[in-house]
Amino acid sequence: MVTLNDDRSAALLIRVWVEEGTGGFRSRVSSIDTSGGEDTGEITVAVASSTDDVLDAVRRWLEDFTRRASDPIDTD
Amino acid sequence: MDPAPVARVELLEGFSLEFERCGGRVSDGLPRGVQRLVALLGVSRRPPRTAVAGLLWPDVPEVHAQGSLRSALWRLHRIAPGLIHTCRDTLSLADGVQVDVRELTCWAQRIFDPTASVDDLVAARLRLRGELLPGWYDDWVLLERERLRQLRMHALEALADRLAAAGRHSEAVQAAYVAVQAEPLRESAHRTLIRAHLAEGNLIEAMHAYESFRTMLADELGAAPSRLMRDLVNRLPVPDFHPASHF
Repeated sequence: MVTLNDDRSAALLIRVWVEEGTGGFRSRVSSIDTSGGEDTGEITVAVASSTDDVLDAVRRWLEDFTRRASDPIDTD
Repeated sequence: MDPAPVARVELLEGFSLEFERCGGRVSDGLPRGVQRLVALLGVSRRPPRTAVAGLLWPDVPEVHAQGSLRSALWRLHRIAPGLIHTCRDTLSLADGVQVDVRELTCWAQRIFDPTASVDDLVAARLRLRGELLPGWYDDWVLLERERLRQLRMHALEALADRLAAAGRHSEAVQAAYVAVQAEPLRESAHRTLIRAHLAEGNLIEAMHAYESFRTMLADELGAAPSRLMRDLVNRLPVPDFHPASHF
């Protein structure tokens, strides 16, 4: 049987901190599945130290999330 | 006036409510909506009813959210009367109700108090472990979880320094490692660990910790340690060890 899962949700957490003495920042981008199924906790999506790398990570994650959210699930 | 209830709310590592008049733990029988109400009041001081309803039932019209809140308050009053205090349009846990999250906040503040006993601080650290409400993904939980995580990391680094200064080197190293585990890319935690090793006279351990951090930073971020880290390791009395040449 093929069903569509229409109750998918997730949170993307971007932790950013200034590292004293470097003149820049570091960040960890983590994904959390909030759909209410099995608790998978936080999963690191990327670590980055530049604005472009953070934005790229967010874009990749969103594209992957929306692609998977619209995929039919084969439950056979 | 009824005496304050003897109650304890635990939110670290999962939800738990102990209420004396019920003779023990009552959380297992609490509906999820009631648990969320108790948890929200445990992490906030005296929020307005409208804010509580909006945070707990964000996806329904305000009138429905207010109704759900009234229902949750009624259910909770039957199970744990007096646990919640209502004052005008605000809600709060009754005076005297213990909340582990509040104890964690107090613990972190006491670490920066030079008169606080290091023994007490170490004992409290072991008791106040764990993530806030694992498996709960409400927006207010995510934000509060992150606030507590930051608070705990800063406190652990300060605790490690205090333990090292007190000559309790093994515990200092352990506290620093817990801070490193919380965020492996956080450099101040690694500096704390290196300082703890140096305080004990473990030069090789300090060098090893530095090299591990430097390698991880290069592999994961393509970045070099900060000037503060270089200043710290440049002082190591090791012949032929020149950290600047590694960058």
